[in-house]
Amino acid sequence: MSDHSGADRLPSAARYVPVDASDARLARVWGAVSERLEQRVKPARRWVWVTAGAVALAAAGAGAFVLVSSERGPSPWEGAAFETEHAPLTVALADGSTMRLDSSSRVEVAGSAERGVHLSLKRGRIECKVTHRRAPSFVVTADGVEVRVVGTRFSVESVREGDASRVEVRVDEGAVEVRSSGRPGEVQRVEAGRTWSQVTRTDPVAKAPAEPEPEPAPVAPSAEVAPPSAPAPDEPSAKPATETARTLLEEANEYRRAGRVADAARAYETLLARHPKDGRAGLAAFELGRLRMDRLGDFAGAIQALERAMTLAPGSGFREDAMARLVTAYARSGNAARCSRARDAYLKRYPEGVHRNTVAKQCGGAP
Amino acid sequence: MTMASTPREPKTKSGAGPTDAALVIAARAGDGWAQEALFQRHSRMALGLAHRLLPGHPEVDDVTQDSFVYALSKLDSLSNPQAFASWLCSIVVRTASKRLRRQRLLVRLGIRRAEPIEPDTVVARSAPPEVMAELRAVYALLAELSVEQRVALVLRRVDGLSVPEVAESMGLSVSTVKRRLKLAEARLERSLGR
Repeated sequence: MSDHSGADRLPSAARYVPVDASDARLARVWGAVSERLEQRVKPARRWVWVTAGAVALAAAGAGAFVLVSSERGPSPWEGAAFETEHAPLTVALADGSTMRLDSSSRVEVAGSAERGVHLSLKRGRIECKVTHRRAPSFVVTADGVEVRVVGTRFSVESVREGDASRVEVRVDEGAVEVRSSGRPGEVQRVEAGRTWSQVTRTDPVAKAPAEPEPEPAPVAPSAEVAPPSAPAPDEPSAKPATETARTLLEEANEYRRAGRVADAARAYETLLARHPKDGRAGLAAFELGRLRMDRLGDFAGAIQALERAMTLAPGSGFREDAMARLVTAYARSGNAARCSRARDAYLKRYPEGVHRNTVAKQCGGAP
Repeated sequence: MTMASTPREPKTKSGAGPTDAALVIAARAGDGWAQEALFQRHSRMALGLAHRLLPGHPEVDDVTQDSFVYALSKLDSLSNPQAFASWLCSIVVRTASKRLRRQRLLVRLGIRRAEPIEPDTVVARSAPPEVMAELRAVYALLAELSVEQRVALVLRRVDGLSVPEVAESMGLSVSTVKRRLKLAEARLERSLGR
């Protein structure tokens, strides 16, 4: 079948049904895709779902579940994750409280014991109806925002919008207390009928500039529950997360797109130094080689990075490009012998390669 | 789906960068960058197809998301890695069809309201008059068709696929698609006054 794989190849009628395929929209979709893919490779939880009337409820687009543990422990809820795809999910807690997870949402039980429940909203929207409680706490966190329940019905929504994340808390009954990781000392009480929201930028490159104003809440907040005028800075505890191979690669790519070549190179180098066995290390080495060669004029450094890229990811899709670049880098650095060897290696491996004409002309002599 | 034989050294259509086959192989080996590269390369195509099948529908992003999650987690079942794009298209078509069936069920149960398609907001104003007339007629008709008729008509009249290609992407036989299209296209021709 036609793969519809580019606007220039679209049939004439299809190109007149335009779609908003902005980078921000696609970034949101990719964020959700990558998160779901990561969840698929995690080990199975120790929970068993028992459905009640699943057929009828599924037809209605909703589910109701009772969670039972396959093993005993002091905190039987802890570690459970609730994730929805196409349909919302309603969960009844033992104390009579209920939570309803919208479709395409995920919440994890970060803690659960007699002292209270702590839910961590990772994506989407959750609506909670909490039985009145005195001592035990019921807490929902999302993107550095903590919502502590006083005894109420409320919802928390976490939305990724391009390079920003927005958390919105809406209270329908009772009241909640909201703490932001950016303002740890402040506690804001949100009463029934009010909404509180906060926008936090996550773009590592554009963190310094002024942030966009938080979106106006559907229900106007009162002065005492007005959203923070400035975005919450990253909390110190989130620091280690910025050092994962994935975030380092994303950060480096952001720097590169922003034209901050030296910063991008440093980020790639950091990734290679700290995560040499990660699957992204080969790509990082290749990108570092490209930067050193094209932008920094450092051919010796480019050679080192490109050779490392081929060692780290010998079967990768960028190997052909890396081998071709290596020929050019040797040629530009004046090493004719290594250039010839690299050229011959490329032409042997890729006799019909896309770079064969360019490569064949390198090193000052016919192959 | 057309499964061309894999060339010995497949090249990208643009002549630069890793091929789809190379990316699929790398992604199968667990390279996250390759998964992301496949997404970056094909997400606009997938989103566009989902939009044409479900114009203005709030779940277009979800269809795109579900399709990529399925495709990237089932790469081992793709016999020809270079055919990733057409395979992804068929996944988008089937995912969108499921959404449409579910949506119609919810409407019948009274749980969700029907969401009418507004042809004027779907079709670009820059379209030539004859193309605009046909696209408007297609999108005005969709709500009255069964899900299979609807999807087949969009793939045939909007995306310009041949009948065998429509059948391949929908997972139906050619004769079934012909029957679905016969009724849909007859109604379309009537609405166009032909």
